[in-house]
Amino acid sequence: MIEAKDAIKDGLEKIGGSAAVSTEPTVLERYSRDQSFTPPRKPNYVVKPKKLEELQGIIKFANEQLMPVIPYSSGTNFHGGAVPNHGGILVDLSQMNKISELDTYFWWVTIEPGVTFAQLNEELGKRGFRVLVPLMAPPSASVLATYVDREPVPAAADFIYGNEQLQTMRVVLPNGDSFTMGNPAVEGAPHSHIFGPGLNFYRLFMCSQGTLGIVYQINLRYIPLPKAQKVFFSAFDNVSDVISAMRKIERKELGFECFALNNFDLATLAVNEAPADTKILKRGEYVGTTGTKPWSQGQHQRFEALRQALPPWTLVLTIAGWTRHPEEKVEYQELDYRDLAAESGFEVKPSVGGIIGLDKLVEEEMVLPWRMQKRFGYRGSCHGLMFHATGAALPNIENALAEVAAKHHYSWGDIGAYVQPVERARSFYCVYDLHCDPTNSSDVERVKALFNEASEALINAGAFFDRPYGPWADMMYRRNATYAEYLKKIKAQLDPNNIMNPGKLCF
Amino acid sequence: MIEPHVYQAIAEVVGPEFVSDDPVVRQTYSKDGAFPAIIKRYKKDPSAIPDLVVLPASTEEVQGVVRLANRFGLKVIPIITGSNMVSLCIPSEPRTIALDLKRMDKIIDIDERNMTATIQPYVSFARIQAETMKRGLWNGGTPLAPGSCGLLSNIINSGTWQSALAYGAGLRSLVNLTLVLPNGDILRTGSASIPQCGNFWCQGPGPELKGIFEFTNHGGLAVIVEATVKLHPWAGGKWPQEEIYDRPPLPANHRIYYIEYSNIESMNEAMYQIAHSGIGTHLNGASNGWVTSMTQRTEELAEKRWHEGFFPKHLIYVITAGISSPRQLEYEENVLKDIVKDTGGKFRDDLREEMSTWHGDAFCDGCGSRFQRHGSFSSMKLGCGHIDNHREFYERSQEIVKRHRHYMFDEETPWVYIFERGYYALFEDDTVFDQSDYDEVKQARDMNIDGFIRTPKEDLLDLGYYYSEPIITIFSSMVGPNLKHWVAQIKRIFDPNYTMNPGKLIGLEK
Amino acid sequence: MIKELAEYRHWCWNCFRDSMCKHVFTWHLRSADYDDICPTLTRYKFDAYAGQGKMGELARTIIEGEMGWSDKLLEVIYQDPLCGACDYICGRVAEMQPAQVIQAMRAKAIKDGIAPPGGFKAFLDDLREYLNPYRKYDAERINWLKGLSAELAEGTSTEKGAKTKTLLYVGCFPLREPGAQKMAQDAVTALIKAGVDVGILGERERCCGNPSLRMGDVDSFIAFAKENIKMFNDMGVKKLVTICPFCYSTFKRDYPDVGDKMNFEVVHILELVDQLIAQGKLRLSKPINLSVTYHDPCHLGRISDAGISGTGTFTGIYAQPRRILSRIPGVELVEMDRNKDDSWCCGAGGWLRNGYLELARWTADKRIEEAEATGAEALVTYCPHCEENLGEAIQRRGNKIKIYDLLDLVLQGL
Repeated sequence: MIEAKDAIKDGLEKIGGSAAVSTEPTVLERYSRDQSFTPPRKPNYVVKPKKLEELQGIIKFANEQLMPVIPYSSGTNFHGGAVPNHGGILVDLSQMNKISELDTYFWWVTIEPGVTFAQLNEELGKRGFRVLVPLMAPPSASVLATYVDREPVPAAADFIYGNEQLQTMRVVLPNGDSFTMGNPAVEGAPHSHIFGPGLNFYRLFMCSQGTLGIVYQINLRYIPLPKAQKVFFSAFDNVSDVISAMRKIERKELGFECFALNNFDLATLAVNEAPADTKILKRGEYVGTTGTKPWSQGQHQRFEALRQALPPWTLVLTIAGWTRHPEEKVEYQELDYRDLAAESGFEVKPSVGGIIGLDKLVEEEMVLPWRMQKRFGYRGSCHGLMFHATGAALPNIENALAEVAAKHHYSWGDIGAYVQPVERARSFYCVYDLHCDPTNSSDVERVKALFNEASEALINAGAFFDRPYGPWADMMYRRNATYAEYLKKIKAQLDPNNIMNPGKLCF
Repeated sequence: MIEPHVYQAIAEVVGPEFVSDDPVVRQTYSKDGAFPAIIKRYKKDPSAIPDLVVLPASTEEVQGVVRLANRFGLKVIPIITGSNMVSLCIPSEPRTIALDLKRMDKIIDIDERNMTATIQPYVSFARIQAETMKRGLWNGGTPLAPGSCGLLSNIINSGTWQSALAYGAGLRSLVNLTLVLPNGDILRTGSASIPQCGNFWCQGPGPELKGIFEFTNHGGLAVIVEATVKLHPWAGGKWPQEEIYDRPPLPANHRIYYIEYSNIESMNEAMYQIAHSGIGTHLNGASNGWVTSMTQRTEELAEKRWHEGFFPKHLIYVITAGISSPRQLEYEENVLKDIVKDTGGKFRDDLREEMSTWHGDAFCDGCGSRFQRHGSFSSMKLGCGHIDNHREFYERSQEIVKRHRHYMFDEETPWVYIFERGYYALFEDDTVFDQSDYDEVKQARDMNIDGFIRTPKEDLLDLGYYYSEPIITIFSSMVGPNLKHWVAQIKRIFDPNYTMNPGKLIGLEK
Repeated sequence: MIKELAEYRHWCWNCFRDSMCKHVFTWHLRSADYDDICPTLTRYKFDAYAGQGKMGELARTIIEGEMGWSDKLLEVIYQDPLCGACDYICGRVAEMQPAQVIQAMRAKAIKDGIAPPGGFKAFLDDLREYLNPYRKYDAERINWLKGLSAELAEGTSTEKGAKTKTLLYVGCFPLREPGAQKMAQDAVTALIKAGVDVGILGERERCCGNPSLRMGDVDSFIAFAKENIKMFNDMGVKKLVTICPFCYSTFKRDYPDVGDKMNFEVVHILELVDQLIAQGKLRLSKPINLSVTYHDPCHLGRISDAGISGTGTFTGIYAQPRRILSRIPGVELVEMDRNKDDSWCCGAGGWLRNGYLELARWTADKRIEEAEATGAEALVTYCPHCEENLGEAIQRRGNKIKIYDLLDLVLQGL
């Protein structure tokens, strides 16, 4: 059979070489879905550029051809961000994986989208440093995409270290031009801050899901590995008490990483996985495009036993010393923490649930987390409700979720929960996970309906889904017409042909 | 000249007592701290005088005024104190309204639990600190601009805070903005954009529109009518405290250290290490000229001290706070002592008495405007980079000084602001000049142009203004072709009729 | 000599618009509610009404010949209590004193033959005719003595005024109306009870010249000043004790500018009373159970010294009234947020009631609101003008708070 000539494929191959372009059905199938409820849709082409010029060429070409472009970094979004809505050219950025400008004096590094946490923290680790990592991010996640996506790290409680870690951002605009934001917008100027030039354009590209351009490089801050560290655990019965304790901790600016897990999530974190899974987990390959293999019975039993032994909520606080007098820092902060806990009526312990080595486990997870991927194996897929809320709103949000869950006959005990303070507990970042069996269509339908209904109910109770994936986009922008209107106007200027990941957000 | 029917329409929005086209009233809005206004005075050029001064009291009144301005082709400049140094508040076109936001001066809410304050645009640093410190919180806003300045206008004009070590650049302080767009639409950013959520989170939903308005848009896109700002724990106890003139006590649970170095390099190393150790709330390299001026009660004393070389050339100051407990103060002092020893610094406890104005100014500026005793001031050079750029910055400034007859206020050392735990630094060199002496004005202006501008001077003079930050028009040729284009696009989206402060965002909107 | 407007050129050009003149000094601000310090700006809002507008812009345009006199310009510069708040703050920060410049603007207007606006025109005309601000004749200056008891009247002597080295300068305020005489009577009573020889000038007393100066009639002021200085010098007065703060600040701050040597010290009666109490010559033993708040008259503080308040040896008469109050048994002082150098003007400064009564009343209303917010039962002050304006406000508004003259309370406590 003679294959019909594909001018687009030819055009793409001219840019990056034939090895970089695929139209193989199995390849397209792989990129057509992730484990979220987002309906699968195959791209027409998968392209893997290796350098900026190729990326620019692809985007310019796509504009000429009016073909959608879907950026894809590591496929660990899990919320449908990289699933094409309208087919098109999926740009897999994993080959753009250079680490450059690693400055161990000023503590910054320049990376491309293909650089993963595993790769970067290994490189930094050799030199005694680490970049901050969200607890839920697998090792294979793209560092760039995670940061541009604003996923909070457990240290986000800290005002400077935890949040706003970007110093420079470079993006390929929908017309193919490269645009630099931050001090180095002026050629030769050093990395310092990401403001400007002129307006803070970089904020437009944060959590834009590639709809306004493709970020191809960031300069990112990092921090030293701790020279002294202790991890403390405190048990609570409910999320209100957790919030109250977190507020007090943050009012005193104590500790570094601070987060809380309900017994489901902590049991997930601590449970021993099947031996065969360990390497897969550490490589960050545990979750595939349709979810993952469910746990064995044995793992379920271990998990259940652990969950029963754990308190409803556990607050985790790390106290770390870095450059000077690290032990002294840990010592005084521990004393201050214990004083605070005693005044507030909660206990501070080296572990909970009788788990041996829990502190060391947490220390490892703060450098390169991998264990929370296990949660996908509870039933095979996991659908996180990820939002920001005030401490006051969170108990009502939980009640709203419980009500909707009950309505859909979903057990409260099967919901994993993660809560952390952000910026000294001005906000709380929360992830409430719903689980379902992706191979069971009625379970999928039930949990999907629950997910959607719960999302609406949570917003009405004050949950702010600042990263509006999938159905959240409509839910958020429907409530915010003016904001959406101006985003669309900006989109119309930046991407008049609407080629960049069309159908996402409000576009 | 504003037509009577337009005047009447505006008067119906704000009330007749809050609009004026009287020459006496308008004259007092014809100046800010920048050279263009001064030069226009000498040239008897009346174009710096707005045609109308309007004082709205509410978001609705602002909406009414901007809608009318849009309809009738008027221009609008939102003004707080109007003390900026970058010519933002002076009209560049006829038929300009000076929109004085003085009546929008309320602190709407202080949310102690979530550590935020929601304020109107005329709220000053002094007001926010007074109200929050009594609640065990504060905004951290400590520019060396007077405490009477507006918090929001300082933030969005890239104000630099002494506490940037711990609290970052001023704009990190913003949670949400509520804006009146030139067509009268209200735009809210962050979680305030969703009514059910409230004013607590600053990012999103999705792409952040806040970025368009929070940094150097110079009133060229919208009028901010409300904002929520972040607060931080305040360990300092009672504020204000009883002051013995110029000798206010240091707030409780704080320590301040002055450390002298013999050269720039050791000073840099010390600042680097202190910043990266994670201690302190304030860390800055103090400009010799500024310190001498701000701390002395009279100009005469300041001159005397200056000529004596009383204050060290290379001086840094560090402030620590015992936020968690006094143990924190002890720990941080131990760390600091180690670093000072390792870097060859010398504690200058003997300067505490002389520099005690800092006990006030480091938390809410009071004496920062003492340069006015000589005249006016202008930033001659500002640069952002890492701490090591200090030497380069200093040498470039010295080259500029050599080329001009006028002197530099900071000729011994520039200000060095350490930001965000040492990830970057900002350097500032300033001149002072007597505005009543035209020759001195021209010298200082020339030096300023030399310091900032790498484009030909003629371009600058055509534009009629210059900035103290790398701004779009001046730097556009250096950052590539996109910048001016995309800023112009943003301008067209939000302000298609070029109502808002024309000529200030990119300079060439016409 | 008193400066001409053009001599302030450097200040007028160099105003930086920092707006410090509009608000309580930042280190002293206690609450956002009480941040405003400039009555005219707070009332009318346009920057023209602030020190920044007047000194930093309008004065400059007059000096440079860019702006001529107009009704609006006159209104702006005369509708001002000249409370000195801007002088204090701008003086402390920039060594510039906007109120002095406003004064010089008024002087220039008068010199240019321009009449002051509104009610001030008639006020100035009357001043020139009666040589006092109350349209009364000098013979009436001793009417207040008639209210003193015989015993006290004996201790007071106009002849003593000719012999004493310590002269009690009463001032014009008792001429205002009979009700105003009590303050003079109380002052004398307090001194006599303390055993202080009180000499007064009686009918020979001349106006200190404050109202002329405030209206801008510098020539008349200089005439008053020269005459008074000569009289006191010739009498051999060593200590001049004043009652009215207007007089006090005029003698203390403005008279030295005239250039004639003053062989006498200027003291305010509260300084004296404070010392007398400390020396045990006035024993306060009768309890007065009252919570009070104290209003600092502008003229006892920030506008009573030539330099910047607090920079030299003078720090304002703030401690003395507070010490006095603390010694009255049962009196509890609750401070207003705006006190001492940051005091909010009562509204009577600059003889404002004669020119712009509405603003004077509005300003007083704000102060009464602030006083009531302290929860104090009474407002205490020591200035005939403050007492008049604030007292009238309380009556007009029907507020519950009472107003007391400080020495009245002292006498009650003896």
